[in-house]
Amino acid sequence: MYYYINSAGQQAGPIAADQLAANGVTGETLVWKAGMSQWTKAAQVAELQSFFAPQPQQPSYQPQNQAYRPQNQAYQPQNQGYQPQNQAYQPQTQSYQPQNMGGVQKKPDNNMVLAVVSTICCCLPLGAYSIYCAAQVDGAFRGGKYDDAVEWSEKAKKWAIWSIVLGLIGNIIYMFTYGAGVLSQL
Amino acid sequence: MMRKCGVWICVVIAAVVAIGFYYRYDPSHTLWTPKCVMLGLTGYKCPGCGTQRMFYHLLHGHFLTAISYNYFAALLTPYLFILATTYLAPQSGYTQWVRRHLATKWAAYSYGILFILWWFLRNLLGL
Repeated sequence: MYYYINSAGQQAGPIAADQLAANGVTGETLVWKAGMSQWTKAAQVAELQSFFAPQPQQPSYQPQNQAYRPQNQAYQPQNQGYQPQNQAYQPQTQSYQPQNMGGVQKKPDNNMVLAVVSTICCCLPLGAYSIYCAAQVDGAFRGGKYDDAVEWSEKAKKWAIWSIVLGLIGNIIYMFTYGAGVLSQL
Repeated sequence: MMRKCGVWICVVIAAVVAIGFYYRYDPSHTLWTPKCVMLGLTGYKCPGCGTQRMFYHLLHGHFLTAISYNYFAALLTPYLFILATTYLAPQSGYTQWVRRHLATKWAAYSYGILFILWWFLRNLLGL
């Protein structure tokens, strides 16, 4: 899922890689996704080469591409009609939004829901670690360490899921091992 | 957007199945609900013990009986519900606001502290 800087100069997304072109992203547009260290032109992102790399060897492909452009431009005004809503919300948060390569960053999700569910359902230390990771997202983000914040966010998610999976496996093994004996302890 | 539709369908199906299941089966009298490993092995309740029975009684309208099974989960349920719906609803100022205020490090720390407090209290006081 990529974020990109739209024609109005604002961050948009996230959208899937194959949807970028349909949203007006060209090889020159700055894009970013979790894991990338900075905003990069789409044409320079390895994963997006197939969509945006210049392909002089295939002239037959070009006209198709150009026939596609007008559609793109017809889509832009729609986008801009949506902006004011967004802007009403921006001023509040800008006090602590660090700027990264000109784009306004959104705070990564701290995945609290998953983390909480994993601790309450599975009682595993991994869930506790997930909560700890979730708590680190805010601090890293406000300190301007956006990459760290994303990393903590992904860790919170990863360990919550592991906690849930291991909890379920443990429970199934336990149920098969003790069976009816468990029932009497309820 | 396709992905969000998929998530929606999964969530609705899971919710319908879960509600149907917990309406039909009392977790106290069926083998087919997960049992707490910690309670079984040590005899001490974990902080989540009673959550399934809570839902069973909640679905049958026995509100006070429901929360008496797990006060902590009763407190968490509305919190999780509100937060989780912001992921399913279309993004708006409201969903942003909820997440900015409910999914914070203070929420995470408070949760951690309450979790441990509740764990000790329920075993000491038999809650």
